[in-house]
Amino acid sequence: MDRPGIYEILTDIFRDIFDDPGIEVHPALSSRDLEVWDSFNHINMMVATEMAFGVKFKASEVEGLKNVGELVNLIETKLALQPG
Amino acid sequence: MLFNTFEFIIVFLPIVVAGFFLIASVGNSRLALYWLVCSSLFFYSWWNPTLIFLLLASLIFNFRVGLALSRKPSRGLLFFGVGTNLLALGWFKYSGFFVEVVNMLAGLAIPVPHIILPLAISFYTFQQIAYLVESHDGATKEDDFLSYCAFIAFFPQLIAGPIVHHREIIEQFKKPETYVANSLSIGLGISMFAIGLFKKVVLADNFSPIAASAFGAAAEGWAPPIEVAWAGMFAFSLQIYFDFSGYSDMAIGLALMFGIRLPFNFASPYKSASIIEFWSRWHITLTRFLTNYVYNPILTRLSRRRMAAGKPMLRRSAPSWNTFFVLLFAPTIITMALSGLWHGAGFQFLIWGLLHGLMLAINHAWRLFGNGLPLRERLRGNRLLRMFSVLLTFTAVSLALVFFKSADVDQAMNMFRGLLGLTARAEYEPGLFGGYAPPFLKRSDVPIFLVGFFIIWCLPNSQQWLGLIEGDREKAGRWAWVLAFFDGLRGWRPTMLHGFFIGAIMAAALIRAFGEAATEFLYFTF
Repeated sequence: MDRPGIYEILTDIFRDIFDDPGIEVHPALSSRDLEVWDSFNHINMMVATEMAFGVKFKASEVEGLKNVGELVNLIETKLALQPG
Repeated sequence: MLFNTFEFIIVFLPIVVAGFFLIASVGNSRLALYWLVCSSLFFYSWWNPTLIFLLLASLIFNFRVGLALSRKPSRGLLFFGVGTNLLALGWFKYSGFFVEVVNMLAGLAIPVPHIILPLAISFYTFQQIAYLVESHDGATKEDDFLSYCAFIAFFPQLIAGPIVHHREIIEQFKKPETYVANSLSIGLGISMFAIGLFKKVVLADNFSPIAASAFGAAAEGWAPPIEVAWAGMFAFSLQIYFDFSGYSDMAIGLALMFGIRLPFNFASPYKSASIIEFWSRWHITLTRFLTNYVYNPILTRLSRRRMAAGKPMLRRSAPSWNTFFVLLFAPTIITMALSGLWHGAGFQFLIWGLLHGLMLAINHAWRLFGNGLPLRERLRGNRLLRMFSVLLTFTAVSLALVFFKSADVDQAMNMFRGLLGLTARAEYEPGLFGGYAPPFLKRSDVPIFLVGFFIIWCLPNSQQWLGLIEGDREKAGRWAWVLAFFDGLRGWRPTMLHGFFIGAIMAAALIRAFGEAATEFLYFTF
C-alpha cells in the first residue's frame, strides 16, 4: 500500500474514533492538536488502526509515537515485513 | 544521606561534582562515569550498607536479562525477568500485608513477618521493568554495564525518581558535552536545587506540625475538633506537595549540575480544574509508567477483543453505560488500585487508589454523558466556574489524602469524624485530648497557609521558572509575558533578579536546614 492510501484509511479511522468528520490527517498532527485525543481514545485509535491494516503494535510502539507521520512510518515498516 | 543535610550539601555534593569534572577534564570520561556510579552507590549505602548488595544484584540481573532480550526477544524471558522483579518487590514490600490479609480472611494468627523495606526498591524496580519491556520491544539497547548502572543508580534520581526511560537518559550520558563543566547548567542546577530545598525545609516542614496535630489526635483514637481536622487535612495536602515536588526539583537540579536533564514530575497540580487534569500534573513520571505498563495493555486487550467481536466502542456522540463500564471504568479502577498499593502495603493506600479511580471514572462519565447539557454549555469558559472547579478538585484530592497520610483505616475514619464535626466539644477538656489543649487552631498558623495557597495558585512552577531563566517561551507557558516585559527594557535581563531571588531563598533554606535536625522526605518510605 502507498502512503496516500495509508493516509486515506487513517483519515476514516480518526474521523470515526475522534467523532469529528472535519479532521484532516497530516504528518505533523499530534495529540496536542486535538482535545479529544486523550490516552483512552489513543488506544482506541491504535487498535482500530491495527484492525484496518492487519498489523499488531507493541507496548513501546503504542506510547512512543510523536505524531501521525511516525505512525505512518511504523505502519509502512510493519506492512513491508508481512509475507506476500 | 538526605539532600537536605549538611553532609550532603557541604561535603558529598561539592566533592562528587568537582571530582567528576576534574577527572573528565584530564580526558578520561569513562573514569569520570566510574566516579559518578561509585559515588552514587556510596550515597545509597549511607543508610544501610547491606542493602547495597540487593541493589547490585538487581542491577546485574536486569542488565543481563535486558541484554539477552535485546539480542533475541522472547516472551518467556520477559515474563521471567518482570516476574522476578515483582517477586522481589513483593517479598520485601508486601509479605507482611499479605499475611495480615490471609489472617483476616481465614481467621488465622500467623505471625506477621517484619522485613526491612529496602530504600528506593519501588522506584528502581519500576524503572527496570520498563527497561526490560523496552529491550524486548527493540525500543532501546544497552551493552555497557557501567552506563546501565549510571541510568539506574544516578544518585539524584535513585531514591525517589523521577522514574525515567532508559532511552531518554542514556544518550545524555554518552554525549561528550556532559563531561565538560558548563556554567549555565551548573547555575540552573543550583537554582532548581535551591527552589526544591526551600519547598522542603521552609514550606513542607512548616505544614508538618499542623498536619501532625490533627492526624496525631486521630491516631490516638480521638476525632479532632472540626477546625483542627480541616486545617490538618489541608496542611497535609500542602506538605506532601511541597515535600515531593521539592524533592523532585532538587533531583532535577542535581542532575542538571552534571548536564543531565531529567523529566519534570510536577506541573502545578493544585491548579487543576478536574481529577483527570490533576493526574496529568501530579507525579507525572509515575502516571506515565502506570499508563504505559498497566492501563494501556489492559485497555488494548479489551479493545482488541471488542472490536474483533464487532461490539460497539465508546463514542462521545452516542456513549453507552455498558461500554463505559467495560472500557473505561474497569481499566481505570484497576490501574489506580495498583497505584495505591505501589505507594504502600496497606488498606488505607488501596482505598486512596480506589477513591482516585472512582473520581477519575466520574470525571470521564461527566465528560461523556454530560455533553450537551444546556447548563454546561452556558457555563463553558466561565472564570468563576473554573475557580470553583479548582477548589473542588483540591478538596477532593485532600479528602483522599486523609487515607494516604493515615497509618491505618481507623485513623482515617477518626479524621473523617472530625471533618464532619461528629464529636461533642466537651470531649476536649484539657488533658483529655491527647495533651492538645484549646484553642486548637493557632492564629500564628494563618500566614503560612496564605503563603502556601499563594504559591500553589498564583506563582509559576519550577518548570516555568526555568523557562523564564532560559528565555524559553514554550516552557515558560502562560508566564511568557514576563519575558516579553523584559524584552521591552533594553539591557535588562531576568538573570540579575533571578540571582538575588535564588540567593535569598537558598540562604533561608540553608539556615533552616542546618539549624534543625533534618526531616526525611515522605516518598522515601515507598
